[in-house]
Amino acid sequence: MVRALKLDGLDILIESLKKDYLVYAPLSRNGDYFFSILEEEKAYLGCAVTIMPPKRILQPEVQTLFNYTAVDGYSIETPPLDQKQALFGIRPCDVHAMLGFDRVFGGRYEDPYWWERRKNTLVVAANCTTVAEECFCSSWGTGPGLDANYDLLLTDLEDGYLLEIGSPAGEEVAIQLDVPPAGEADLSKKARLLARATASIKKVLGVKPTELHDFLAERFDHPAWQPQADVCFSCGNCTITCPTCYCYNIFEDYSPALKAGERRSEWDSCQLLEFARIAHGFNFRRTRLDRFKHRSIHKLSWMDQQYQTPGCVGCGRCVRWCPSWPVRRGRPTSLADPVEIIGDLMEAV
Amino acid sequence: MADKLKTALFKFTCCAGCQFQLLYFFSPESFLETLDLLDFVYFRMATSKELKEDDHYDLAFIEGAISTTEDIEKVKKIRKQSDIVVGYGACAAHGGVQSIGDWTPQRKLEETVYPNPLQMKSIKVHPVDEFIRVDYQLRGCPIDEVEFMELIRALAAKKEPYLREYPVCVECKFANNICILLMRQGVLESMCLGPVTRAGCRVACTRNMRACFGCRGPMTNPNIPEMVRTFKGKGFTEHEIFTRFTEYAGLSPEFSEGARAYYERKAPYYERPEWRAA
Ligand code: SF4
Ligand code: SF4
Ligand code: SF4
Ligand code: SF4
Ligand code: SF4
Repeated sequence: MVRALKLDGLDILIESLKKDYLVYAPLSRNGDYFFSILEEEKAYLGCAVTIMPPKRILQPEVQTLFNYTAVDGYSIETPPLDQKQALFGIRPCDVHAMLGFDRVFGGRYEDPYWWERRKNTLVVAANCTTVAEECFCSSWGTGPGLDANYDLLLTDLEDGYLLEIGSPAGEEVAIQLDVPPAGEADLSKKARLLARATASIKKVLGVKPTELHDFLAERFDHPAWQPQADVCFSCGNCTITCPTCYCYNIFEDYSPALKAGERRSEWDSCQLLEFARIAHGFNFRRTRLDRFKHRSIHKLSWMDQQYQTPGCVGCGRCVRWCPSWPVRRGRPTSLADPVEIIGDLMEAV
Repeated sequence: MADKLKTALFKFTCCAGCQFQLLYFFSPESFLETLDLLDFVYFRMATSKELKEDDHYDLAFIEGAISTTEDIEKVKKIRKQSDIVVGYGACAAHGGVQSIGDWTPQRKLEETVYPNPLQMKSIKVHPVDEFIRVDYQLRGCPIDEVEFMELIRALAAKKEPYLREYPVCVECKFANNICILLMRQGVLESMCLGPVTRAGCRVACTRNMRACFGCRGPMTNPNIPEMVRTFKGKGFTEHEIFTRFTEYAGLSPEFSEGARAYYERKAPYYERPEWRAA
């Protein structure tokens, strides 16, 4: 059985984490939440997906790959990546998305930047006992509760917090806390709260994940794609806010005198026109239709075939931040919403 | 390192704010180093050097919009004298603020402003590339210093600059902004043109909870009908939508499509919108 403790409040845990880690947590700003360094503010543990996924801490929007100088030959310097950091309050869906990155940036060609940061990152996850309108993690089995792959796991029990320990690194933090172990009653309350949360999820993907590959392959030329693409801005909001999207571009920032420079990576998006453009201006996905379809199918099928990890974890960010809201089945819906996209494709031709 | 680029900066119809930016930017540090790549032989606001007739320039910045027939001759001459021509700022790129006037008959404008309109020689406002080929555009009101640096050092290094083509939304999300188009209701500040406007400004506006009003002009291949539909859905009036699309870059084919959406007009000129008819 996992070791579990019962906390009255979170301060004691946060103080203890801060001793060894730079702590990132969901913070509130203008009524919304974003993942940032926790200083004086209060970390928010209610279920609210942050505007940007926590992937930005392990794989920043724009990151320095290395700096170089070209005076008396070349010298190259990589930025330090060994900062010990804790992701406090990361949701189960986002943890699953992070495991997806482990597969994409792992395997045959490891991404050293990802892995250096990943190794130094403590995952202090938080189960969702309440869910937001946009969530559909239960369709993927990626939430609202987390079973494994955490160092520490919090559950808000209303009369305190359950803290489960999932790794030796987590144990090192927990051992410093002078709090009692949790009882049977706490664990069964957690199970009850999570069952209630699961039951309260309204959004359901119309097709089972295992059947999605065939479903989408059969509907590659379905007429529903075109009207969807017609109202898409190709703005990239849906992929940039997505915790599983890993595409990036590389560019160079160099000193005017060409004596020094910095190579950077920057998130890219398959929704942008220039994404699949190559030399001489040829573009593999020039039309909006091709791009819209690519994102949808890559998320819902190809990524799983390629990396054995789902390209969607049901976090609902794309649902929330897509600026295009067409009326489907009699109500305004987010164009980027995977549940609605599948819904459109389920309609008979 | 190559020799400095022999450079001139010409001003046409505009507020000169973009050239003022060159004197005003202090950061990042390498900005001054970038300026050092340029040898300004003509730059009225910064040097007392006089314009030499028939000089040759490696690089010419053209700031401002074209609004008289003499301007047309002048920019054509500059084109002949220069290897590289850069449209400098929103007015050069799309006509800028004064292009709002293009949607009203020229005579009407002149009668409103001048006691003796028959003396006036001005024509409708045009972007510079209406008349001459422009090699690069630095967009925005005002221009962005990082983009300026990228362009200049790329030209000095003889490589293609990396100027973003994607929409403002991308940079907006990079900045962790909350989307004001979606989250704010009932105020003009939520009428955000970000999904169709070209990025590169590092979201000066949405970072401060202000809607993007499209000062950098359209991105490549924007979805204008969807933008109009979105604004309509948010309850904005025809006049408001028209005004938003024509504030800075209404002369671009893309934004004029948005402005025309309500009036079903063939050209941006000659017919007065309903709200002006009274
Ligand atoms: S596709 Fe949408 S719901 Fe799925 S993980 Fe990405 S942002 Fe979340
Ligand atoms: S959906 Fe697009 S941006 Fe996201 S991982 Fe796939 S190809 Fe990349
Ligand atoms: S689906 Fe929505 S968020 Fe994604 S590119 Fe299209 S309009 Fe933008
Ligand atoms: S606020 Fe404007 S620029 Fe930012 S994401 Fe929303 S629509 Fe795009
Ligand atoms: S957000 Fe829009 S209006 Fe504001 S500076 Fe950028 S392009 Fe211009």
